[in-house]
Amino acid sequence: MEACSPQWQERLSAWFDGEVQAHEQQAVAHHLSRCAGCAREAARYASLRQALRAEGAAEPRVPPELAERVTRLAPRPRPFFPRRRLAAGLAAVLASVGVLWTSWPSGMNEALAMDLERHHLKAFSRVDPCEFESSDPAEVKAWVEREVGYPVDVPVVPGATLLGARRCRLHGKLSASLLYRHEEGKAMTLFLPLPGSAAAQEAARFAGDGPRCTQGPVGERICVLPSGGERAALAVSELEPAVLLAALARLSP
Amino acid sequence: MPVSARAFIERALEHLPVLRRVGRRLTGSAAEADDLVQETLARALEQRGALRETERLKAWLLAVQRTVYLNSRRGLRPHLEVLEGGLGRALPPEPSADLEAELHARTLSAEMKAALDSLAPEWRDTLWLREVEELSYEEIAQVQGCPVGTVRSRLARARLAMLDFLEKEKVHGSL
Repeated sequence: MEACSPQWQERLSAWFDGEVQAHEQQAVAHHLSRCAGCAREAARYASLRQALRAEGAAEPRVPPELAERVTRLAPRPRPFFPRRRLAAGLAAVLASVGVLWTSWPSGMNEALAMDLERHHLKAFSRVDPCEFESSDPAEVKAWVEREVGYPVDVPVVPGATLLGARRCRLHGKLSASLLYRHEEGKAMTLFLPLPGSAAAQEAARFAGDGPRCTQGPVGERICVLPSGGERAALAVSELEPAVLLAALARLSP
Repeated sequence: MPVSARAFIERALEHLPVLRRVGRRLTGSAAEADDLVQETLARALEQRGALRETERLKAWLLAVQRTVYLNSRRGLRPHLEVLEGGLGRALPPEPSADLEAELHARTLSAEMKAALDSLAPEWRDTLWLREVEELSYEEIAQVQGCPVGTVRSRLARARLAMLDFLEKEKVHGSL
């Protein structure tokens, strides 16, 4: 039985995929008319393709839960306002209470902002956002201290329910995050990086002397409350910055 | 200016089946594949400004998925995410109405699986991306981070090896 020669194998395979130039196409077509081995090989490619596509088609369908998880990655649309006017208005309101607001790009370290938004959105894209679920601040505090390795303050936030906590990585370092849900159903995460860690330093540097808020690259609001030295707490949510700052203010100084 | 997060996710949802299929091949489990897909799309959402040709979204997403997977394997991220219960659980396969067809499908699947498993991982992935996901050579090169010529030669070798394997199995099976 005549076999397809190795030098034709690669050409034939590319021809079969429609990935050859016009001149090569003609050469292969001409060769196929004379070479029974190559013609047989091309037929085998077609059978293989059919079998593999059947294999692919037999894969289970995407569960609707996965589509929901992915959909929740994108922030919900907000009411429409002219963006610039809104940003200017928000900045003016916050400035009147001594808070600096900046739109993105804001000077916040981009990797940190992305990590914050990603952790927040991913956690709340799940049915069970927390690794440890409890509305008791003492229980959450004990879990964080045991699992993350440093003590944190777990505040009671008026108008919001404490859901629990998760571990996350900020700038590659294990950090604590506390998850809350406000009365209107909106999610909020407080990030409490280890004092002195790269994330805490970065956040403190961004905030400067007082609280500072920004819109992250994905569109969530991020507020930072520095607490002296290389310490800072952060809040992420689609809620108004004033709500985030009120939550951060419940932390012990 | 990158598209809005919502518009991006809506477009990415069209490619969920391919991301999940390839994710299942990479991780070997439905639950891990779902976590990989979610992590991939979270990363892609952040980096969507880097997507220059929007018509190549599928190949770009697969390239992001490959990077996320390799990083998780290399220990840059110790775990994709640990999901206990909730949404990460695999769904049981749907029962088939035609038992005979189901058994045939299972036999075919086992044979094809063995043949695919006999290939070098790069060859296997290249073949899958071409035949099942119908990516062009250029798109496969983008996903795998290699020249188009390498894709071409990997495909030729993968086809030959796969067909030889199946041929031998057929001969042994008939003995």
